[in-house]
Amino acid sequence: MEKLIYTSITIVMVLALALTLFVSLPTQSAESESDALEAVVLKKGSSGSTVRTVQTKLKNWGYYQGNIDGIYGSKTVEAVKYFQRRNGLTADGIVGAKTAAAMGITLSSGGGGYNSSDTYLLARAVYGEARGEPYLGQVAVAAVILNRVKSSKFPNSISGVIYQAGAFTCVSDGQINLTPNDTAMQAAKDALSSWDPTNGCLYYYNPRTATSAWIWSRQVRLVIGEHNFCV
Amino acid sequence: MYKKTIISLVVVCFLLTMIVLGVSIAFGITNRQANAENERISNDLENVYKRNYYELSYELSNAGDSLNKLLVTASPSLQQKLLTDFSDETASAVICLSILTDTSSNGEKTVAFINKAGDYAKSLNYKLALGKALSNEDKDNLTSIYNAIISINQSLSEISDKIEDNYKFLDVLNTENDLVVGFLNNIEVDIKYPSLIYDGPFSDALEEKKPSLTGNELDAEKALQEAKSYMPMECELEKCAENSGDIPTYVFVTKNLESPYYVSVAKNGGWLVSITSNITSDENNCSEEEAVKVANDYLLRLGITDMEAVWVSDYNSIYFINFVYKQNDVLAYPDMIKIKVSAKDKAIVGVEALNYIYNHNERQLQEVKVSKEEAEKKVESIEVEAVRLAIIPSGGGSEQLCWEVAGKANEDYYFIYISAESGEEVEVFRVVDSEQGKLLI
Repeated sequence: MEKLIYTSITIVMVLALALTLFVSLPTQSAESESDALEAVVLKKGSSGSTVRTVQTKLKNWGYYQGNIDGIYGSKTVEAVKYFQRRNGLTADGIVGAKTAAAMGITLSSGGGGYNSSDTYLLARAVYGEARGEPYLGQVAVAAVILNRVKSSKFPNSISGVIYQAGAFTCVSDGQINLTPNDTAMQAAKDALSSWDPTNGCLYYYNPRTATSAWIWSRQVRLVIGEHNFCV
Repeated sequence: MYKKTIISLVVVCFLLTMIVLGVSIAFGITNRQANAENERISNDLENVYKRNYYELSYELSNAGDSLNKLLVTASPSLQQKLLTDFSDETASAVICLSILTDTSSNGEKTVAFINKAGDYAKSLNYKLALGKALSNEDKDNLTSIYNAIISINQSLSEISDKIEDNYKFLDVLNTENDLVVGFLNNIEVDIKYPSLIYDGPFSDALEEKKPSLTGNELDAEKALQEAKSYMPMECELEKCAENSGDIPTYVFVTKNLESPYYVSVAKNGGWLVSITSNITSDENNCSEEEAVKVANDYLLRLGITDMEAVWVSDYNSIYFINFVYKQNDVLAYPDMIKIKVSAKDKAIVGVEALNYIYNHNERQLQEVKVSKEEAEKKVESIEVEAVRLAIIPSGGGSEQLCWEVAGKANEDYYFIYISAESGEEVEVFRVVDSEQGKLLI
């Protein structure tokens, strides 16, 4: 008898738990997508002015004994790890957002004529639109975005072009919010330094999935991977 | 015993009902909250579209007003003010339009016209600032721009009744019921936009670009041999694409390499257009000077002589070096080749020569009417570090000979260009984040 009661109660509890989970699940998955920023990190092999700043700070604070040469070598890695241990951070030797904040510096990536948030936005668009494509195809997608910025037919800024209503699928489906990898960052950097495999193309489409009759009417100039690039 | 069982069952059923009821109520409340939240978000979004629609009408109507006044005023200072207003209004209108619709398939001509009109106004403004007057041709152009803007505004007002009357942008965005798309498609048929040729980036004169370097057409096999000779190392290549643009090219890719190199070769003349790779470098064994030498030696091996390195920057231990052609001590900036050198193994990992192919030629150098000392004197606000002659592009496809005066003010680095013909200051560049790059003098 008691067994029956316990079984019933267990069933009820399981049911209740399942229902609660069912109700609360959608909110949880919505949250996990949003915290996808901060890909700019300094690590072994990095170089430039920000590395110089990191080295100067670490030297002044007594963590670093090497030269301030702007090159992130093994001595810098050791110094960063030392700094991280002393400041309660994960000692991985990489300067990411938290370590940078603890040092009081901002991380940025360079790009000719455009500011660092533009470079990062461009890399996110490349990653969202073309991460499975050959490297040349990724540079080409970044170049198309920049060609639109330069063209009178489109808005005159990188953000204006990328966020134009309905212009890119990765913006509509939210994939633009994924964190870009190093390859996408490099493709963005190359395109900003005027590498343009398309030589002036303003459009691209995937012939397997494109349905708009209009886009098929454009003159295709180049095919790389899954994309037709056209004017 | 039997009774007990019944009571227990009743208790269990009661408990079950209560829990299910409780959970459903909780679920219902969460659901209602979620619905209310969704409605709020969709209202917010709808409001963004509405706001941009009203803003578009407002800016375009003001743009019409500004031009209308401009056509009757003779005062250069008032003309300047109205031209400034007009270019601001067109810029805002383009932003609004791009939020309302994907102009890549609808209204491309209209956006282009509005952008060009604003850009043209800027060039006229600059002309007035130099003390020149608007010509009859300028006024004719302004009149045709004005007429086109009026037509756009008329079409826009035709859809405004419907939009003010419970129209929901969210429901129809980029569909055939989208009134903005309909409006754009209609005006593209109705209006003939004037063609504008002037000194600016959107000039119609720039639409047709022809390469300066050409030659006999090569077949893919010949081009492959050329491509191999351009590679920084011995390797196997295969054709992977062709570009049929202004500069038709063959694109080859390295075989059996984890990080491939892509080499693009011009079909006409076999010129090297670009080498692209995403080779990364995790060590820095190479100074800037060494990297520049590696790049310069590479150019010489290709038979490209008289190139001067003008700028170097490094990005994660890859050096980006800009070379420009130097003709009799004059730097020709339009003839630029960019080279990437890996700081790990001092190897060429990228080349970009599109601008060189478009622009490179032996120029008939203009006469220098302003002396170096005079040019230097014009620049008061920076600490001058170097002065040299340079040819720079001046928008609209033309070039001008200038004195390039480079120097520092506070912590920023500047390039100031003084026309070698008139002594006017024609361009100022500020080096963004000068720590990341270095001027080579």
